[in-house]
Amino acid sequence: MDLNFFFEVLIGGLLAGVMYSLVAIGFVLIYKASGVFNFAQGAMVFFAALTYVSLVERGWPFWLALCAVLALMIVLGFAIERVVLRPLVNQPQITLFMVTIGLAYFLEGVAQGVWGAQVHALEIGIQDAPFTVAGISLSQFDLFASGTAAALVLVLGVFFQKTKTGRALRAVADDHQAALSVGIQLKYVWAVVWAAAGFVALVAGLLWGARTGVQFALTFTALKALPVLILGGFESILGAIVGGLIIGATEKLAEVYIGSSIGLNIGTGIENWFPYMLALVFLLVRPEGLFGEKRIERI
Amino acid sequence: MDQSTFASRLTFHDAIETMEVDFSNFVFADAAVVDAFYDHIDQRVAATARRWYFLVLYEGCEIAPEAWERFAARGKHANITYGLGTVRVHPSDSTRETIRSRAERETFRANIFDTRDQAMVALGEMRKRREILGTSTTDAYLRVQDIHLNFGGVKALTGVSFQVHRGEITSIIGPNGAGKTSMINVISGFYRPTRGRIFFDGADRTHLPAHRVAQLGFARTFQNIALFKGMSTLDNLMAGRRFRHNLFLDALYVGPAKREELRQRAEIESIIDFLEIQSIRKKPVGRLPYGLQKRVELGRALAMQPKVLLLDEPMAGMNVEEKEDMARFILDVNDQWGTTIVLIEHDMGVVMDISNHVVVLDHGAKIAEGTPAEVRADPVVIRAYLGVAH
Repeated sequence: MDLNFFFEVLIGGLLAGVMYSLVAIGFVLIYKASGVFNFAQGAMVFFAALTYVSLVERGWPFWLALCAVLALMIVLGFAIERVVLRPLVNQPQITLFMVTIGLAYFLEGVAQGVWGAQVHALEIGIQDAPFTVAGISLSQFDLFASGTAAALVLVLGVFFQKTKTGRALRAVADDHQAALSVGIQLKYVWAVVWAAAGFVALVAGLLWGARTGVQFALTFTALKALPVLILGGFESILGAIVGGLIIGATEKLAEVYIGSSIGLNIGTGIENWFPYMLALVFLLVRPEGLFGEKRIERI
Repeated sequence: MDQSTFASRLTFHDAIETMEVDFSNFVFADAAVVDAFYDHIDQRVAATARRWYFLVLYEGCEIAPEAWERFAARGKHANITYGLGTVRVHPSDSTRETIRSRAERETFRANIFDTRDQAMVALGEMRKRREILGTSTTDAYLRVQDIHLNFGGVKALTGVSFQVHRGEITSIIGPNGAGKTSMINVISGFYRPTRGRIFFDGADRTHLPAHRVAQLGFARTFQNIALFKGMSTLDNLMAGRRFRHNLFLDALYVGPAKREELRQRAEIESIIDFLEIQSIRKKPVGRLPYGLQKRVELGRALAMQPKVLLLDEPMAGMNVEEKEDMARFILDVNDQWGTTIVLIEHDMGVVMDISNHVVVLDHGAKIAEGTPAEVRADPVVIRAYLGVAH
């Protein structure tokens, strides 16, 4: 076996996995704080990317467009809490899940209604020329994406661990009652969490958009985040990262090695279903995920 | 020594309850002079048949070393017998030092000021404090009035009223299912009462939601412990801390946000020392033993610098030693910070030693109220706890 080739596939897979992690982190933020599975995360990614690319195409400078979309995503987070979630406080989780599906359609519709539905190329100034380290050729763009993701995780980490607001977010994620008893306002925390998820969606949207073009298919990144979450656990940012890396690496390895070695006609497109199968196996063996909280229910 | 000299040195300001004593440029050469002056003072004050604040002017006053013992003794006697408080103006350096060292030794306040004006301002403050204290001992700090709480058809509380006085420890006791925890949940804003009102410090706060009640100065603990289990002891206490902060500065973790964070950390450390939980500062609280978790939960409540501390069975499930520790902490909190405490306990014995006032609930209604001794002897209470023979 060609070892260099193996590492190339592995590293390429890991770097691609980082992109999945980025989307998954958005899910984790909201799920941790409010127990809502936000089906609209993919739509938020699409919404952010499309708005950004449309502004740039209308001649806005890079930084201004970035700041404008960031502000828009934060406002959107607060608005979602106020208009969508607050009237539904104390409703069953399935209701909240349904409302995020509605939200997804709304965001997709608004984004395409305002900016149009055609595919846009997004240029963020990173060349995708491969370069070689120790005989292994790597994608420059994927490396950049990983660096961005690492920086994002670092920023979120400091925010969550070291600041008053971050501590309030963790407190709410941990125990709603206790959080109320120390004077933390749940509504405010939810708004902040949605705004943070919007910020993550923006970063993910720019990187995915630069890679695949800004198109409606971006909303399906949310589906790829599902197996990542099942692997890593819905409550853990670390889980989202590790889950993303595992999914990214295994799907590429499976595509290359299983597909070619079995010699059956399943060879192409393994990476499209392999993550889901892996998630299915995980659900059977360890349903709470690698880093999720084990639920012990009293009967 | 001429009596008229003394007389002219005393002035009574009726409006501000203050007697001005002018020692300026006076020389206390020996004990006899001290006695003469103080005999006159005592006589004049006694004649008014009331207590006074003393404003003492020391400018240029000299007290001979051999007269000091006598001077201090007579002064102390006058303060204890007739005084509401004393402020001293501009003593010479040596006198100042002597007063300070005596104040430290005998634990009275030196209250030394450079000018008469400053002393007058301080006097005003002292009088204001006494007025507030005076009213608070008669008026309730927290007043719960005719509280009803229904869950569908189940009546958890029916017309419960009681008062909590500032700085006291009030216990709510009762058998299982008496409505004690419901009462705490109503006071802390977790339940909205079906009927009735809650007044705090004179203002109606019946309809405030839980987080606003907490911001108002009510901290609570839970019967089944509600800690942030995945967070460290330190973070749990910090989460209880309320301080000004700004989301965007927080997000960047720069400048003021970082400075304030560090300043608050220092204050939290003093609570950690107080509760003797230094060794578990960084441990995730979910893994701590039960007794320590209870202590951390108390710590988180204290971190809020509460005006009223609501404790829901703080000693439940503890062994004797842990119970004694907890009782000591509760008393210390009450002593050191003057925190008003409302305490729920199932076990009657535990609370009797530490409570000023006891409210007894049974089947959602108040059946007795009073001092621990009164409640203990109340036949209705005994029947509720022991049941009646059928």
